Amino acid sequence: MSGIGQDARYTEAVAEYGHALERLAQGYEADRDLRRDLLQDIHLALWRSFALFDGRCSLRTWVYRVAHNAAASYVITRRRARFETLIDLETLERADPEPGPEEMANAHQVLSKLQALIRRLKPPDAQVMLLYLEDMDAPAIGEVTGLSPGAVSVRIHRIKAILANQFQEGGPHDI
Amino acid sequence: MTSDRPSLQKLWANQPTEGFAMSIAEVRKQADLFHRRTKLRNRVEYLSSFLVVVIFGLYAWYLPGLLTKLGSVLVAAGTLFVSWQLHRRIGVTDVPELSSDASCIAYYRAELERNRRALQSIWLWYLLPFVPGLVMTLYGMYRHSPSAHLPVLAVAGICAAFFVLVWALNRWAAARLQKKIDQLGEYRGD
Repeated sequence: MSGIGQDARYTEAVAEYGHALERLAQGYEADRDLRRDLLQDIHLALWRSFALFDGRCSLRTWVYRVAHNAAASYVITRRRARFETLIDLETLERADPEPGPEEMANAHQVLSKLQALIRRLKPPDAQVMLLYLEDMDAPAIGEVTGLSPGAVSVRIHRIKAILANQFQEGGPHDI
Repeated sequence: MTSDRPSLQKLWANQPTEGFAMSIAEVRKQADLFHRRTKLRNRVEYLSSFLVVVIFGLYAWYLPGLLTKLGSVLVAAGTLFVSWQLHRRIGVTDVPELSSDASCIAYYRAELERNRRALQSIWLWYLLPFVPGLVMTLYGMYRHSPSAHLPVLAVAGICAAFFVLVWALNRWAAARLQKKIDQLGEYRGD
């Protein structure tokens, strides 16, 4: 692809998915400055990737793949530096919900808790959770992540159970 | 399905964002900066290697005793070997094609494997090449200065402890990564 095509494709992708990329970064990094660094890495990876884009998959699949892959590299490096341990959905499913509904006073708190919960997950589980929250269906999530439809379905089922457990039905976030 | 599913997705989609944006000019500038930083890092590595070679070359010339001279030459040779390995393994790398074309699970596995390989092999090409030269230099000093046995043994002990510690930490970190790689099988299995 020519430089102009690369630039145009990048501009198109950012116009369409720029906000989604910011939400994605929220799911990987809590610190504002580090999150901006991560977003910069993602944008750089995206622009570079469009030199190779051949239309074999949709723009949406491509953008999410590149962004989640850049974020996974970031997580591997950062977690090793911080000696942080990540968990999988199965472990999270067994965890007690916290804090209680009385502390979940507003949408901002619910969102903060949701972001914190995603950041505890290993990249493959965080990816499925983030794509699910972006309202993507199982086949689309499978295309981005490379997981089989069955594996995606099982994970989405677990995610629903976790969200129901952690964010109780009919709470103040039900807006 | 619970009633909070659509609301959480809606909440997620409507969360405030900062409107992060990079113009094409900024993106190109950052890409260029990345390349320049990588080149600078490599140059610093090469310059450091050059200085080590010069210093141990001078040691080989001025230090007394054949073993000490030979040890200094071996340290210089080990430095050149490490420098070549750095050039071969790192160099100026662009974003791998895998990062855009591969599914997330394939990319994550590849990244974990790349990191594990690096940790498993780093002692072999980054530490071991210095061992023959250091051993010979210290042995030469030990033989040449009978009065300095204790300091030479102390230095040898510190070097050995450092090498073993680095080796053990890397093996431990590589084993942790291997565990994560093994666990990825579960994601394909259900």
